[in-house]
Amino acid sequence: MTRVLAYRPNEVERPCPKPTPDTEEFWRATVNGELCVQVCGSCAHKQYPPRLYCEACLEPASKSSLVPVSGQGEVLSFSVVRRPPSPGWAEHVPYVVALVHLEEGPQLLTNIIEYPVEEIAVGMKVQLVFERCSDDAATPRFTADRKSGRK
Amino acid sequence: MTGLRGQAAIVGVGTTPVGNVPELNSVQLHIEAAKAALKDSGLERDSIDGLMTFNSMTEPIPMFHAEAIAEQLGLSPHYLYTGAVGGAQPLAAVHHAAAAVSYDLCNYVLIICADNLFSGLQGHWTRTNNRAPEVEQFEFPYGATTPATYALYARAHMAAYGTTSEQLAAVAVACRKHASLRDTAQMRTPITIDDVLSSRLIGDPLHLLDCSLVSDGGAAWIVTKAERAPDSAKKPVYLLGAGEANWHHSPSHIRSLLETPAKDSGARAFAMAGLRPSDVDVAELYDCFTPMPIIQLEDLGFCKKGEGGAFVEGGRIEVGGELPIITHGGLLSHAHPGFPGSSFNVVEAVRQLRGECGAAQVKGAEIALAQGQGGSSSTHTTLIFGTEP
Repeated sequence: MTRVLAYRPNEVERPCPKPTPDTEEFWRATVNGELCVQVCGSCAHKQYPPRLYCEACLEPASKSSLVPVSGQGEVLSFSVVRRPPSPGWAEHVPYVVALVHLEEGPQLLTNIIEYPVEEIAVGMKVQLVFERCSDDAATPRFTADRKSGRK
Repeated sequence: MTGLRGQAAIVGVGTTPVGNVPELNSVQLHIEAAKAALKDSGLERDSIDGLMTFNSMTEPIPMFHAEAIAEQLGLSPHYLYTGAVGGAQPLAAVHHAAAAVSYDLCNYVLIICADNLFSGLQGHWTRTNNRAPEVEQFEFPYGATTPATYALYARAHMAAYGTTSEQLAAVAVACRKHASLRDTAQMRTPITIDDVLSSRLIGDPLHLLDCSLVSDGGAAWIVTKAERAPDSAKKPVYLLGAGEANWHHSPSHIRSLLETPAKDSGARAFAMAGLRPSDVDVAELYDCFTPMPIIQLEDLGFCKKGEGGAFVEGGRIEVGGELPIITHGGLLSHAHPGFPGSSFNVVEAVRQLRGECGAAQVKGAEIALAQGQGGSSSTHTTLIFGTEP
């Protein structure tokens, strides 16, 4: 039997976010150096990433606003990726994937950059840095919080 | 003792060859698994009036997967369902099918899980086929591979409880030992803790041998009402407990890196069964990466939180030990064809309770637990089976 395999998108480069109408305002802020969480106008719940409804009270996004955070956070856990997920990532390995808890509450999946991988630790304080990747978006990443010292 | 306890049974199981099976595509793996389950049950094909399948990752049939498989199998079911909660699905299907047969919605539900990830899928595509806009914009830019996502759980457990890489490796060693006792597994050459630790790092702290396989393969089984079960060819295996739990979808919403939804799915299953962890003779846990069985042992109540690392040392989890786990070799050594991965946990639990496992048989096994997990440990299903209803 002849096998017909599924279409496979040839996405080999490290992707840059492509804003949609729902996330345009969020990504515009990143270009201006601001990472925002979504704060519900009805119940004050903070969430990340921005969504169409508040997870806590289900009011629509039109009732919420995007509020910049301090950029201070803490590493909940991390991994050093040694094997690139696709050929386009080869130049980036080793890189650090981390789950970071923001001072304001929400957590996000991100990278720790510009810091020796062997010195990264669970509980380390980190500070937001942006990497501009297009006219429309800069990706929030984190590095060691110099004010708190290393760790 | 509540709910579905003892109301339904598995009366036939079947598996395909696993590993590199390029001569069978995804649909063919479904048909071969179904034929094997029907043969094992001794039932006529016409008696199957329920069908549950799960879409293929490599060769998806948009919108109508179960219908397409039913047609190819020459079935006309009146209970039909295509499911999707990732690696928890094969076990969730048993839960749902048990409810259906216990309420006489249908008599015999055929559940088929199969895919050809080894020969039909390119590695980098597994992550990029999740096209949810939220995932594309807020996850893809960070290159969080599946091993890296599970490494978050490993690293957090190590930091909180002092769990070691040697303890993680003990899980891989036990799975390979069990696989070496069978002629069905994809990887059967025994390994040592040193082999695991000296294999290359994929996503710290996970080494290559801490990571599951990529495989072709599938399994199928038939669920029926308990009172109908004695009509089948082989000894029925009864569902005593079932529990599901979903805590999150995206990694930004991981509720805890130290606890998983197995805590809730397990509590529900044990409550339904009226049993305790100490009653379990064999536990077919979900081993996509070595830290996860350790965390499941804690969340399911086999040991205290933080003691999972010590629990897996010294052969306790091997056949002949206090609590044998993953006796077919699991996702780490038997096969991991993607969403169907945990289907082999169901089949192995049934075969253990029938006493069919040869050198890997847990002597006198009467109660078996099977665990399924999907996403980034987002969704869990726990099933508890027994030799008597």
